[in-house]
Amino acid sequence: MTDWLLALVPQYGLWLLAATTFCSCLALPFPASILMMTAGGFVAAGDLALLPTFAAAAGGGIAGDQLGFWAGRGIGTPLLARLRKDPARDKLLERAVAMMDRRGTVAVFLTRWLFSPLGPWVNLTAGSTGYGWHRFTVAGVAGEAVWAAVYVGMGYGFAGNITAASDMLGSVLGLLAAGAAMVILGLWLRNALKQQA
Amino acid sequence: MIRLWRQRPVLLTCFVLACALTLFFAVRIVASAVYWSDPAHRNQQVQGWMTIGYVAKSWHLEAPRLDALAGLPGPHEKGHPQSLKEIAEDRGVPVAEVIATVEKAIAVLKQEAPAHD
Repeated sequence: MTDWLLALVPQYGLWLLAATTFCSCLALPFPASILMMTAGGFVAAGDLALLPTFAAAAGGGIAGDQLGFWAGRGIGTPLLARLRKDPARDKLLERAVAMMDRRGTVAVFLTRWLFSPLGPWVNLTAGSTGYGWHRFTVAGVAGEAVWAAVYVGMGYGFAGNITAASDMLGSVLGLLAAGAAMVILGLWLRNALKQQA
Repeated sequence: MIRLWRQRPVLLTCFVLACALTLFFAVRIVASAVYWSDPAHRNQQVQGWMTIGYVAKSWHLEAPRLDALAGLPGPHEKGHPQSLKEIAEDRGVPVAEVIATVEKAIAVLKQEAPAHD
């Protein structure tokens, strides 16, 4: 299916790219990352223009985020209100909402590109917990821009070798994510040590 | 450390795992950097979804010359660059045949300028 999609990129180009990033932001299994890298390769080969390619990739993602957010608001809010009738559950959800309020911007930004599989779920959560639309959109647009720039850029930089680009990018993103986890867990451990002392 | 292990085993395990993963990815980056720095590894095998422009870029060749030698339509013929698959469909031949033609043309061009990279 991926090869079949890739072959359509030169023909349908930007629309196909935007549709793919849109769908992948709704948790549909579309190979958005490999498609963005291929598009970057086509840019390097002179078959696509750089700016429209970047705009299509980021635009599709941004539109997908918005749909997820408003779906969360439309469907999630009444559901959440019903769940909160139970006092114990209400307390838990209260905490989730407070956390989203404090860390939401960072969460939205990072789940666009570094932890992108979580992105669609964060959209739904943000929408249903009443997270501010402005903040969501600013963080979302910034994150999608990074996402598109990184993947299209890698495809462009490794012009003519998607395997090399995806290999390298996979490692770099893996390193970033694992490194972030290491730092957070390390700080947590230090706090635990301090509390004992 | 031992006391910590007794009190927070899960946290410590996660931390060690995260350290190991970080190290793993760091090693992998170095390994791929070494692998891909070899020009021979950089030429991507010709596949149906590629355009001639893409193949030319990957193999460090000039697209118009590759087009001419393989007898393929240029990027402006249909208003958009065509993948090898699309060219094959238009001609009613299997895509493998077009790929073989392109590979033959690459071999000829590479022989003309072998020390290009």
